[in-house]
Amino acid sequence: MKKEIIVTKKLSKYYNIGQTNEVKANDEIDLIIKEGEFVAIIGSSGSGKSTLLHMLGCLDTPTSGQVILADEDVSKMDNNELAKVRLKKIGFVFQTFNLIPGISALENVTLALMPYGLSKGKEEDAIKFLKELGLGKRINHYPSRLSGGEKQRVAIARALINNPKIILADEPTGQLDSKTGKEIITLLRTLNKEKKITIILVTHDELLLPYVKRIIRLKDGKIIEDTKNEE
Amino acid sequence: MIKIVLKNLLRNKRRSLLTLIGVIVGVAGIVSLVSISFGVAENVSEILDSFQGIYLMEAGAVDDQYSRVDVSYVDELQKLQGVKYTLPQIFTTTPIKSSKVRIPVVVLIGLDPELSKDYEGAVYYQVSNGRKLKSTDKNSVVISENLRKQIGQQIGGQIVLNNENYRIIGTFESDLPLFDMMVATTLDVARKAASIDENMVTMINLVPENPDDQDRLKEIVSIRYKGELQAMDMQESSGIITSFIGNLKIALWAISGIAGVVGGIVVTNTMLMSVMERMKEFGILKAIGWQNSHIIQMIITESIVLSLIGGVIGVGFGMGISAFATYYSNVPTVVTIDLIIQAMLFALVMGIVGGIYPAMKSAKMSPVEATVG
Ligand SMILES: Nc1ncnc2c1ncn2[C@@H]1O[C@H](COP(=O)(O)OP(=O)(O)OP(=O)(O)O)[C@@H](O)[C@H]1O
Ligand SMILES: [Mg+2]
Repeated sequence: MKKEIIVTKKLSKYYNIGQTNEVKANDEIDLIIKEGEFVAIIGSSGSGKSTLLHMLGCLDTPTSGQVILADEDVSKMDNNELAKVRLKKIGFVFQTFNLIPGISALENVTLALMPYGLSKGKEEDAIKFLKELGLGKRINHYPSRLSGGEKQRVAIARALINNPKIILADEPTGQLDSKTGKEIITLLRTLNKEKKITIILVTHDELLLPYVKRIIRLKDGKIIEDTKNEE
Repeated sequence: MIKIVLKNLLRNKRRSLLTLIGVIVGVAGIVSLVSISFGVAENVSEILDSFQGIYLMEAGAVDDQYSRVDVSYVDELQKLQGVKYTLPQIFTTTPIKSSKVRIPVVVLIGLDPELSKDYEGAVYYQVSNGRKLKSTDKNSVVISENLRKQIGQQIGGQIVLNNENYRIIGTFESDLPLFDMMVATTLDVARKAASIDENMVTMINLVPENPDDQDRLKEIVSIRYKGELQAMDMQESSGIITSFIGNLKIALWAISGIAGVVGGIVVTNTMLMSVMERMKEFGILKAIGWQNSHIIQMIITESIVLSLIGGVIGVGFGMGISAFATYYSNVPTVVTIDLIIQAMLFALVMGIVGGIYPAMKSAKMSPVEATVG
């Protein structure tokens, strides 16, 4: 029996509460994700995928309900505690890469650790990750000189730097051509297999679905489908 | 952290440079203004120190040039208890000529070599080259070394005062501008040069045996010669001058304060622009685990680094301006360690104040907003 790593209980996010344009972006979502799963969240635009991912990743706080990450309830934490959870447990990969311009690929990877004190060991890890991701020759390049696929791989290295248990990716292939997109998804799958990292990814791209083990479909802030891919 | 701060500052070089210039101008302004005013103050107090004792002038005379005092007072005054020297003097200005140049205004001192022969109070009694004046000298003058250079004469050379020739018998040195262009001679020669009547001088300098007696002497003289003579001392003037300099310093600090506020606004403004542009980055940093305080720390450090660099360059420029002022105007300037420390503190405060508000703004950025789209 695998351990539960993400549990939500009646997790809700409402916007513009009490007004005529009230939105139930997430509406009482109950979800259990176990260690080592590779999950895709799909659904039409506005169905609440990003909202859910943000709350799972402690980027946003729920209106009501709970998020429990590795037995720790994060729903009531303050900003600093949430920042630490993000630092230690979660890696993010975004559609727009969100690298910091003006600093090298390596510095982007180690950036999260800088205010906490960056050790030599971690810097070596960062170089190792970049090499593993095929960026051995790009270590000191600035983001402006990297291709989209390379940027996303730097972003993945950045997500890996603290050996997180969870990687959350919001449309990580959205800005890439389909070939590069497939490379990225393959990469994530390798990480899932080899490092046992739980990966949750939001996507519009039906072609990526064969790569994942579980598909959750949202509609109007609710889960309307939750299926396992048989391998 | 400092590495990323420096990289951030280098990312927009033009803006960093602009901020630097703001800080540099402010700090250089303070250092040069304050050092010049300190220099002037020190110079003035040095001048005052070379005027010892009490100066007696004609009652009601507004200026020593227009004062006429009969030398017969000298004998009476010398008898007062506690008086060491009674020195009749002529203090005026005159044009001079030499074979080569004409100088429209120099200070002309007439003195009695006999009465003042042991007195070394003022610089013009001391002669560093040649010899001192003697009572028997008829056509001799002692001049300041600087004046000698300016007129291109040697000791033994001639100068013309009021159409008559005089021989330069000695020179004295002074770094004070007041004594820089000066001719000292006997009372008779000074009278001739300045068209002052026989037996008249412009003032009498009373030097007490004991400096503590000065106030008492001054009071006695003021009462005894009421309506005839007025007594002044430089301590009195120095009080006025000291308070003037005090006011000058306050004014300078006020100007510096304004410079500081302006500098602070410049720093705040550029930091604010820089922060606004990077809002998305701050959201990303938060998303990957930075706390608000880390970002605030980074922004304030950026601002402080800029201000301190600006401060160092500004102090350098300020010292340069001071040195320039000294070189071209002879106004001595004083750049003290205190002043440098104050200027650097000032820059530091500018950096902190300029960084705080923009840093606070960064805390408002939510990671969600930053990372979508
Ligand atoms: N800050 C906000 N204020 C008000 N409404 C919001 C806000 N953020 C999201 N919403 C609304 O919540 C709903 C869910 O948004 P969400 O971004 O989670 O959708 P999504 O499934 O990720 O869509 P997409 O596929 O377009 O990215 C949408 O109707 C959206 O308009
Ligand atoms: Mg979305």
